Formats: sequence, C-alpha cells, structure tokens
Amino acid sequence: MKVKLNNLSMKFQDVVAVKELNLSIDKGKLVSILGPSGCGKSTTLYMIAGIYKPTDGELFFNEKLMNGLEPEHREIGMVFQNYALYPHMTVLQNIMFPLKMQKVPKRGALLRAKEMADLVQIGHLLDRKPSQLSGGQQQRTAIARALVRKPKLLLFDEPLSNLDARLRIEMREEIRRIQKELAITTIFVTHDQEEAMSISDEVLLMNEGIVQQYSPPQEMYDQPKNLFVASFLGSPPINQLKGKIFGKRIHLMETEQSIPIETEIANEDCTIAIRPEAFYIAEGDDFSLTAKVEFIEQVGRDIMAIVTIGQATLRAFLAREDQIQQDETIKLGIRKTGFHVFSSANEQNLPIRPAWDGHKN
Amino acid sequence: MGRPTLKSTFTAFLYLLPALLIITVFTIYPIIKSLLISFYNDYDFFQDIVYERGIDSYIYLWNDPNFHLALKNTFIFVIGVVPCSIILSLLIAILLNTNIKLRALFRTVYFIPFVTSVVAVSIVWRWIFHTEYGVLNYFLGLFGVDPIAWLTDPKWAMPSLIILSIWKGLGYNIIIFLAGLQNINDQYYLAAKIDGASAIKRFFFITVPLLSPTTFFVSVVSIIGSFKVFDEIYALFGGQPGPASSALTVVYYIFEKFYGEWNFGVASAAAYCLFIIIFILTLIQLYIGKRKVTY
Amino acid sequence: MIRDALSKATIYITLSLGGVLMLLPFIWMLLTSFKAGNEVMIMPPVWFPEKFHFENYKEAWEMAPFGRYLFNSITVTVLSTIGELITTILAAYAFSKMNFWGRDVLFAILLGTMMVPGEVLLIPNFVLLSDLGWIDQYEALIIPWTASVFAIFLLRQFFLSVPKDLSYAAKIDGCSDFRFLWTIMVPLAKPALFTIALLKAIGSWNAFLWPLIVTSSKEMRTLPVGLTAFSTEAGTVYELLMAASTMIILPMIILYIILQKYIIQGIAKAGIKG
Repeated sequence: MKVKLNNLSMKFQDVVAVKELNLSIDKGKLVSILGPSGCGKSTTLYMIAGIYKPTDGELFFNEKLMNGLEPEHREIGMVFQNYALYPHMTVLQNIMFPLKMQKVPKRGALLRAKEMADLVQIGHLLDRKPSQLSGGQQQRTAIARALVRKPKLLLFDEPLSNLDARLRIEMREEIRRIQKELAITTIFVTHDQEEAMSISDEVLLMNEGIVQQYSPPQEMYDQPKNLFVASFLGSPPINQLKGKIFGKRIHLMETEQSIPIETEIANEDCTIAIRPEAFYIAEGDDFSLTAKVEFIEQVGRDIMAIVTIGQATLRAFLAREDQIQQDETIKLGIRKTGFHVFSSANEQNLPIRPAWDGHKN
Repeated sequence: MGRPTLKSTFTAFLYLLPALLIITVFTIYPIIKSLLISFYNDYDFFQDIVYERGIDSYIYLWNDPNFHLALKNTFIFVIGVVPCSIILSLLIAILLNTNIKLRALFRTVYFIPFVTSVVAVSIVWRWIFHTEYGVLNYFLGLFGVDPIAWLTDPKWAMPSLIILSIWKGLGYNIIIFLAGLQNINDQYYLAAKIDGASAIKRFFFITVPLLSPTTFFVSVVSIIGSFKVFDEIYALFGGQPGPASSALTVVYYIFEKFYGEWNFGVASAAAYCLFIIIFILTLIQLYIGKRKVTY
Repeated sequence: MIRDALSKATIYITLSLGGVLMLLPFIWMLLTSFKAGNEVMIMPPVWFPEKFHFENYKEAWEMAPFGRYLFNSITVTVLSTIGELITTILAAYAFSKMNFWGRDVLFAILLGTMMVPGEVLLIPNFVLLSDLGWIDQYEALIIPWTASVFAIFLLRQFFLSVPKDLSYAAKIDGCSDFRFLWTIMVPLAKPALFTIALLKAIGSWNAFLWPLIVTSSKEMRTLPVGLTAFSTEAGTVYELLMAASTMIILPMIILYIILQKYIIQGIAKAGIKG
C-alpha cells in the first residue's frame, strides 16, 4: 500500500507536536521515523494509525483519503512499545482477537492464527499467558497479532526499546525478514539511529515536529541537509568547529589555520562538521590541519585520538599503525566524504567543494 | 484519549448515567433537601405541606438538654474508643509485623469481628454483659470483683458500649497499620541498627515518624466512624439509648426525633450539626496532619 | 539467644491471648446456641453443653420468619451488589479512559459527597421513597444502594493503571469501546471487582438503620432487623437468641475466610492511598 501525508499537523492544546508533514512511502518499503524523544515521531505514527485525529492536513492510503476513518477500517497492524498484549488471554487468544472482532469463523481464524504464530516462530507457545513469555517472545506475539488480519500497512512504535542489547539485534533482523517475506509496507518509529540505519529503506528524521530530512540511510549519513541531521547521526557524534568563510578559505576561529575551498560565498560565519572517521594522518599532503593529541583510547582494532585545534576538542579515528603519542603535535588530513559545512545563521548545508587533493580520496 | 468533544461528552455521560442517576437522586438531592427540611418550622409530612419556615429547629436543639446530652455522650464515646483502639491496634500490628509464624492466622482472627453484623454481635455481647449470668462478671468474680450491672447501670452503660466498639473495630485498624508498616523500607531499620539504636529507639525514631501518614488516616476514619455510632446501641440496649439515656448519642437522637417523634425539622437540623462537627474535625485533622505528619 | 527466644515467646503469648479475646464472644455464642434451657442461666457458667441441641436452631427458625428474613437478606445483598458492580464499572471507565467536558469537576463533586454522613440523607430519602411508594418494598432496600462513589473511586484507580496502549491495540484490532470495557478491562480488573463486591456484600448483609426505617411489615425485614425484633420477643431465651445470631454471623465469617485475600488487600490499599 502507498502512504501519502499531505501537510499533516497535530496540535495538543497550544503545543505543535507535528508541523505540516509531507511524506510519501512506496509500496513494500520499510521506512523509519527517527528523532529524539518528543520530536513528534510517535504522534505521526498514531495519526497514521488513526488513534490521533490530525488537526490539519490529509492522509492518503493508495490515493484514498483516510482522515476520519476509524483505525479498524484502515487495514493496518500495529506493534506497541510495551507490546500491549492482553494479559488475561493466552498467546493464541491474543493472536485470534482481531479475527474474533471481525467475526471470522472460528476454524479459519484458528488456522490463520497458527500460520502467523509459525511465521514468527512461537508456534510452540500458544497456550502460554503473556506473563510467562520472555520479552522477545512477547514481541513476536505482538507482531503475529498485528499481522493476522493481513494488514496492508504495518506500524511499529519503538518496538525494540524494552529488549536487551542482544535480543534487540535479533528482533530487528527478524522484523526485516518478516517484512521482506510478506513485502508489506512498514513504518518503524525509533529513537535509536543505529536501528533506523540498519533496518530501513528510507529514514525520516524529525526534530521538534518538523521533518529534517527524508532519504535512504546512507545518503542521510553522507549528505546531511543541515547541522541537526549531521550531528544526530553517527557515534561518536560528528566533530564541530566554528569558522568564517572569506577568500576561498574557511578560517578556523581562534587559530591561524584555514581550510581551502571552492565557493561563491564570501564573508559568512559557518560551522564545519567532520566525521571522526574522516581524519587520517597526513604525510606530505597539499593540505592538513595541525592538532595536539590530548589523549588516546584503544577502540578495538582502531584508536581514538582526542585532539585539540585551538579551543575546540575533536575526536579522530586513526589506525594503530599511525603510532601517535600523547602530547604529540600531528598533521590531520580530511577525507572529503566526511566533511560538511553549515551556515551558522540557519544551520543549512552550504554549497562548498573541498579544494584539496587528499591522497586518500 | 484526545480532547473533549460534544460526541465524547455525550458518550461518557451514557456510561455515567446509571451511577449519576442513583447518586444524584439518593445522595446529592437529599444533601440539599435535608438542609431545607432543617429550616421547616412546621411541616406536614403526609401531605408534604410546609406551613412555616425558620430556624426554630436549631433554636430547639440549642435549648434541648437531650441534644446536649447526646453531644456529650458522643464525645465521651469518641474519646473512649479512638485513642485506645489506635494504641492497641498499633501494638498488635507491630507484633504481627515481626518475623513470626502463623501471622496470617492471627490477622484473620483479629479481623473477624469487622465482617460480622453489628446487631448480631451486640446481642451476643448483651449476653456476655448479663449481670447475673454473663461470662464477663463470672471472670471478674474469679478476681473477687462484685457483679457489675453493665447494661442496666447508667454509670456502666457507656463503658460497655466502648468495650464492644473497640473489639469490633480493632481488626480494621490493624490491617491498615500492617500495610503501613510493610511500606517502611527495612533498610532504615538496618541502618539504625548499625548506628546503634536500640529496639525502643528504633520504634520512636523510625516507626512512629514513618508511620505518621497511616496513623493520621486511621484516626480520621476512626473518629468519623465513632461519631456515627448507632447500631450497637440499638441492639445492645434492646431499642433503648441505654439506661436513663446514658448511651444517647447524636445519631440515636436523630433517629428518635425522626422515627420516634416524626419531627423531621429537628432531626434534619441535628443531622446537619453532626455533618458540621465531622466536617470541622476533618479540616482540623487535615490542618494538623499537614504540619505534624513528618514526611 | 535466650533473650530472643524469650521475646518471641512474649509475642506469641500476647498475640494468642488477644486472639482468644477476639474469638471468645463467637465461641460463647456458638456454645450457648447448643445448650439446653437449664444450662444457660446458671452460675458458674457451664462451658460445654451436655448434649448439642441442634433443635434450638429449628425452634428459633420457627419462632420468627427467619426463612423470609434470610430470603430478603440474600435478595437485597445479591441484587444491590450486582447493581453496584454494573454502575461502578461503567462510571469508572468513563472517569478513567474518556475525556469529556466537566469530568474533573464532576469527579470532585462526587468525592465531596463522601464527606457527608449517611444520616443526613436519611430523612429526605425517606420522604422521597414514600412519595415513590417504595416504602416497605424491595426497591427501597436495593435501588438507593446500587451506586457508590467509593467503589467508583477504587475501580477508577485500577483502570488508570492499565496502560493506554492496550486500548489503542484493541481499537486497531477492531474492538469498540464498550466491548473493550467488557472483554479486556473487566477481566483485568477482577481482583479489584472482587474487593468491591465483597465489601459491598458485607455492608449490605449487615446493614441495619436503613432497612429498619424503610420496612414496616414483617415480610420485608432483613436478618439484622428481624433479629432485633426477635430479641424483643424472645427476651431472655439466650440459647435461641444465640442460635439466631449465629445464622447471621456465620455466612459472613465463612465468606470472609474463603475470600479474605481480596477483602484485606482492598482495605489495606484504601488505607495506604489515604
């Protein structure tokens, strides 16, 4: 099913939770809605589900207007953060409940429920009560219940946040597998960037009720539209340096150093954002930054150097072979893919091209 | 849940309708009506005609020695029952809260009087209090005490009533105190023990202050409950407010004026006086509670 | 060690002594109810009857229409409990899961009425019931007692603790509000409903002042009212009085012992929330 949101807005009393959201999702895609808590991602999901009534804008499923249609008529399935299993019913009764509400004949319903239970691999747990299940099994039951009515659209509200780290990865792969198998359009709300990046075809990043960027995950990481997107994605977070553009160079604040660029812009304050992994030790490059090593952490096969340039503290992933020492002064080159410049005024990405060769692309 | 709309309000009131109908007709309307009746000077109940309105009923109460007696007796009753019941039940709750076996059995036993009919147990106590053949006088006789005319001597009627009421209500207070005690984290006691506080000091410096909200609740409930004593008196003294009105309480006074004399105005006025007394006491307790409840 | 054992022994002895004092009236009642007439009024008292005279119960039963009283008590208790459960479930659901104009004000008003002593309501209700022609009818014994603010408050607290997601899930599953209440909320609230029903049943079974006032004929009396009437008639025939008292007291003790978990939990909860 195709989903289209047209200037969808939601106000609670005086608070705007979601502001003029436009979005279109193609059939069979898995889209994550990502953002910090309170950014309006769950509100958006609840509007799509029909639990909240939008205060403005339109919602279409396959070009059909959904506003005002009750949740049960929208052909959707939903999995909640706390699973929302009915505690007094067995796994089987939980899965069959939506069918019972639709007055599906008992035998057919039973077959269908068992089929779903097998799909999510809980066929052996049908007589248990939810309290007798592990978190992962509860999650699977909730998915089976959401799928049992053959929904055209599947909604997940932070489904993995109550699971421990290992289970989280397992369930996330499981959700992806089921989604692919059924080729069902899916919307997945999460605050965990890694989850969104690994699972989705497209990611919608929101902040304070406003869409920041909507694109495939890798593109969002590599081509952030604004400083919020750049800083929200990536762990450790992207490094930020204050600078000023003039004369085809960005001059770093409170230092003598500058970065060569090609641009039409002149005389503008900006924020330079550099991914930790974009740094490398420069040997005879045409351009490099001089930094002082404050501290070194071992991170598996790499090392993380905490360095200072002027007043700013930066993190850089470097290779162990680089053999740098604490208190040493080093020369850092920058790979162009991890280098972004944003306007200080509106935090939007500035049209700037790096003007150095950089031997490692 | 969403914002309230005309539709949601309509639906909600459909759900509320049965309860609201009953409560409005049999609670809210009577509260107002009772106030009005208390200002009827002359009222014909059978024809539902009010001949005269005024404050005669309240003047009557002001001058009626029986009403004064009822007030006095009620206060004596409350003072006799509440502190005693609270101290006893707290003591038993603390003993029950120690690490003993059979705790559930003891709890069950102490609570039994609470679930039984006041009227029926009062008649049982009437038999226990019997001057000549009652077991109570028999036991006292073993210690050389002369038989006491518990229910027929005006001096002893109120003590009998108090004994019965403490016995009846003890279990309820114990359950609430137990719940309060179990809410106190064991770590406080462990910490105090390590700090070298003795059992008695632990009681006064940990149990008493941390239990103060519970004690507060129990005393409010007990006082209000005691102010409304009636069933016990009716059954214990066989439809009389004790010998020589020695157990005439406010509610009994209301009952007599209403059901005995059909004087609805005075009965309603007395009921409102009771309401006001309870209301003021609750406010005082809330005020003290806010200042004295230690946390 | 010795001190510990000693203090433990003191605790057990104190508690047992108290327990005996609590039970003694009931034991005395039971024993007296089985005695022959000449074993009752004697000093020093005889503890155990020579022979257990079960016929005392039969005699008491026949002296007053206790069968009728019992029927009335059961009818009134069962119907008012069922009625209260229904009104409470509906109202508590509206107050906990619905948003409507005037909700908080209305709830505050209802809570406020809990402060008013029932005695204030007695006279207007009597007048009202006379106007309705309900005096000495089952309506008067039952209908005014089919709703309780306290019960609504208790159940509302329970309903509020049920996560919102559950109602959203049910909505998506195609379950209407009304159906959600009865198929999901009510089964979930079973313990709370048990507590409410039991407290109500005990209160209704033992109620005295109200049934005394609104009944006039023998046929409409409930057990407690019937018992006081009987006590004036039977006067000093204590073995029969005790047999009659046992008939009223025993059912509630049995009910309590079987279901005490719910009663005690309910009372403890109300106390802690205060």
